[in-house]
Amino acid sequence: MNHSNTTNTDRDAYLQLGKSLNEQHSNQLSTQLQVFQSALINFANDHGDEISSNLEFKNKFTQIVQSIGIDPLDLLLYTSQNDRNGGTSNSNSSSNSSSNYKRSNVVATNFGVALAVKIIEICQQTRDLNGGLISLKELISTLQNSCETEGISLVVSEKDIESSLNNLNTLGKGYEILIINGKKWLKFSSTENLSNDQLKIYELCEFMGGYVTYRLLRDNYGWDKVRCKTVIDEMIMNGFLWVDSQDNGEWQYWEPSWISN
Amino acid sequence: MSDPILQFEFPKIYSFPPFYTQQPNTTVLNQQLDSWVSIILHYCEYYRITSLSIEGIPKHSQLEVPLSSLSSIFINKTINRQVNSDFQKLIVKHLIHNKKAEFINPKKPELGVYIYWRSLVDWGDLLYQYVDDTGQKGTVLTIYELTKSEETTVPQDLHNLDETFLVKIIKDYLIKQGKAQLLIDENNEIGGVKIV
Repeated sequence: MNHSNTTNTDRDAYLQLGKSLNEQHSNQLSTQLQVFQSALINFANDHGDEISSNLEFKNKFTQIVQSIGIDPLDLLLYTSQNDRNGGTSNSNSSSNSSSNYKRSNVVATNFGVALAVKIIEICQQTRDLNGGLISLKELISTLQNSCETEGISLVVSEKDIESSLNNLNTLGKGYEILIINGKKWLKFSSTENLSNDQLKIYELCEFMGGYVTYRLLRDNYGWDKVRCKTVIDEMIMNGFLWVDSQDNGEWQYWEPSWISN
Repeated sequence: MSDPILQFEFPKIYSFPPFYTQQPNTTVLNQQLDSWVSIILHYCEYYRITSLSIEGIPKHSQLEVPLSSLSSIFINKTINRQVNSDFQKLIVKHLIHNKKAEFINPKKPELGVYIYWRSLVDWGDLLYQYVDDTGQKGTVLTIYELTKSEETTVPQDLHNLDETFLVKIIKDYLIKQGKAQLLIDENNEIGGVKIV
């Protein structure tokens, strides 16, 4: 009976100690993360304008933020919310600093959201023309052109677009990045995944200056006539290819991104 | 007048070879037709063309430029492509459906169409405003002096307007609004117009 009491007491003591150590460790980690998060928030505060306008800077900042498990947009949303609730993180700042903080933060947040909206708009406008597949190069070009007509000089990178698309996909599956010939395309069509044959059509279109023919497919890929017809007819039905019947004696099937390249 | 006229700048899709072939995909075809309508309207507005043949050849322009220098808009020699007859008719039909064109004579479609890069209402308002501004309401005016006169200050927008088009503006809009009267002479022809 005496031995049993000693064992139980020891076990309880060890459990208590272990729990205490875990709590201590967890608290330390939590404190460190909070300190680091606060540092990032202050950093965003001090350099918000530069983060918005300097793409290289923005990319590096985003990497740091993501490496500790924070969504950079969540950080921006958090700071916006914090700012709205009284701005505890900058309560010691002067009013001028607070004003700068708000503007830079709003600019950064709105940039991502506005970019997502712009992407949706361009996709809707070009859907019937290209069947729901657009290269990121064309997307950026269209974005910049539409802004230039308004006297705005817009600087957007493919990384910016991909970041915006990540937020769009939380609304449901609809925007997907494909890689064709080493270049990135945005698929926003409701069509199922493109088949390998269809991707090969796009590859050959790029090499041939925008179009393919049955003969080109046979000569380059060794496809027979049935295979050519099946793929091409499906792509025409989905709106990915336009038909040209006026080349000498042979039909050409054109890929509409040629129009903006 | 021999003003040097800059060439109209076509959008890139005008150089896209399949643009001249009627597309089998209905969605793409509608996009294609809308693009043709847009190009035709901008082209006609640029050269101030008010009527076009079914084959896309300008019939009348307000500019002092020989129409022979403007070939059919449906032919692109640079890329050796042209719209065939059936597709031409479909494009014209789309223009009419969108109320951007009207047959010159519904009973004789081969005569071509008026192109409304500016609507009849806007044309009529322009004419009415000019007559009102110059204090000529209630005065009998000839069709000629409303468009071609070198003496009066006909505004540039109305200058050299096709006479049959002008009559259409007056008949289809101004008269129906009670703002104009046509004076018919003994030969049953239009002798003049009075804006009231």
